[in-house]
Amino acid sequence: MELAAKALTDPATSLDAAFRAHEPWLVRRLALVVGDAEEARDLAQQAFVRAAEHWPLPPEQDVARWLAVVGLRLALNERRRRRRWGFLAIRETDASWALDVNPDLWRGLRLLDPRTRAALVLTVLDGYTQDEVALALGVPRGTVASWLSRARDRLRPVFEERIR
Amino acid sequence: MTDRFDAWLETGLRDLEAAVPLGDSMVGRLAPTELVRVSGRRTRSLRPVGPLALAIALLILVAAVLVPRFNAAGPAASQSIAPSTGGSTVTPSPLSSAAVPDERTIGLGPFSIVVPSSWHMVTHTVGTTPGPFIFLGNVAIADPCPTKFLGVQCLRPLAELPPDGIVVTFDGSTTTKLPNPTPIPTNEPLGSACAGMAGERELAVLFQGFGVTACLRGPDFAANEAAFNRLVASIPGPPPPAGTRVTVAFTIPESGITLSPPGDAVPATSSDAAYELCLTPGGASCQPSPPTSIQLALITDTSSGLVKPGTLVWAMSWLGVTTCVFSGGGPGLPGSQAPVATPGQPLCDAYTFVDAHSGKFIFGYAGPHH
Repeated sequence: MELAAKALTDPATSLDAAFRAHEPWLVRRLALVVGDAEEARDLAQQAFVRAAEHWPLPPEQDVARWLAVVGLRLALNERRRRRRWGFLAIRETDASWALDVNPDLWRGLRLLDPRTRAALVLTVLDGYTQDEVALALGVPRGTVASWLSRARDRLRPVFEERIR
Repeated sequence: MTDRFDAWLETGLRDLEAAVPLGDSMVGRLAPTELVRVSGRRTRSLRPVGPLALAIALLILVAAVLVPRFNAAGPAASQSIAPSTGGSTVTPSPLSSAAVPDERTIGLGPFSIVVPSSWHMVTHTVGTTPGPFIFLGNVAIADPCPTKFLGVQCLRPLAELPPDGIVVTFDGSTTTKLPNPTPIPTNEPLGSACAGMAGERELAVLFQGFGVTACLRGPDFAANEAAFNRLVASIPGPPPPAGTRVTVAFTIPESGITLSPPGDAVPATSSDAAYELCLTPGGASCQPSPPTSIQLALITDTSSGLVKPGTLVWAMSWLGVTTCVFSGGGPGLPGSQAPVATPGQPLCDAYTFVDAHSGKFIFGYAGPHH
């Protein structure tokens, strides 16, 4: 993905190519945060709309990172959007895809608020540091640390139950 | 232990991530170069027609068949509600007896609304997910996108609102979810679609399942605001069942969840407040129908460890439902009724647990029907 991202920072590379390269993982990533695949697709598409408005991104900009941050920020603004458009909250959340794979972890994640899930995803799956997550989400580092600590406290009993 | 926990967490997240369904629409999804042409504030409307949109469009078409006046002059025609014709399903409901003479009650899928009899109505049949599907107004209006989805302009059923004009837009699917029983219209920032019609004021009501917005132009807002409030107030919602107490302990089969009699425990929140979470976006995961019961109980969950044993909960149950996953929250169909199963369709029992002291949603469970 890094190679793809680097190549896609070339202004000559089309936005459509970036779309094809990045949308699948972006949807998956956002689905973990918002808990709904359909909503994640909606958010990913909005992230690409933003990308289109800023295209080409500055050469130093990592496309994947840019998309992840914009997509997550859109997801975290979801609550505000829901107040504006109730239908976003009413789509049926078909979580069978998650319940089939790891229902315990999924239910544990559902107990976390979206910001905490976002921080968890960025650190665990993407290897971002807490400083980087704080920068990306626009919150102090200590806030991120507390989110992650709380997340681990919430999820650890799920893990311990599994191995008991 | 920490290493094992970290490994379990990362593996679990990666497994979940890999399982996210990308959907058939991924191939046909609009590329960004197409997206940007129609980008705007309401980018939610940009998705191309996918399976869900097709399903909604199909439901709309079914509704159109059931409501002949919708189709009487084609999808782009503006229909006055006033002349009632034989065979129409614009049916008088109990509400109509209370309606003033210049109002009419019309059926919209699972519920009905009251609007001034002079208002016009059109359906939008080329939908996105979940694009606007019904426009109402006190002026002539037409489906802005009768054959092809064209982005934000599909939210404008007329070029320009005349003075004292109003256009009401229903967003979302009324066929799957329920209105909030106590909706209150709020003033909203003027959206681009409304502003594009020369609208000057926008009111919105968010229900579970759809949103209703009114775009108004002055100078006389009062009459149209009153009409919109009347319309909103006419949408019925089902009352929740009364809260009771579990009297005999029982275990939900295959779940590890046991609900025990609460004794003399006194909840800090009411059963109505617990149910209210179902009506609140992001509040609680509920089934799209009224619960079978709301019972006060002490819960023990040996399978997930997500709740402290002995926690006092309001346990909302939906028994024998066909929707075996949770919605993001939402009450049931007006006056109803869990979905009716088709032969061979599995039934589920679903439960939503709300902490009876804190009033917070804990978790939901759905399993085979017993």
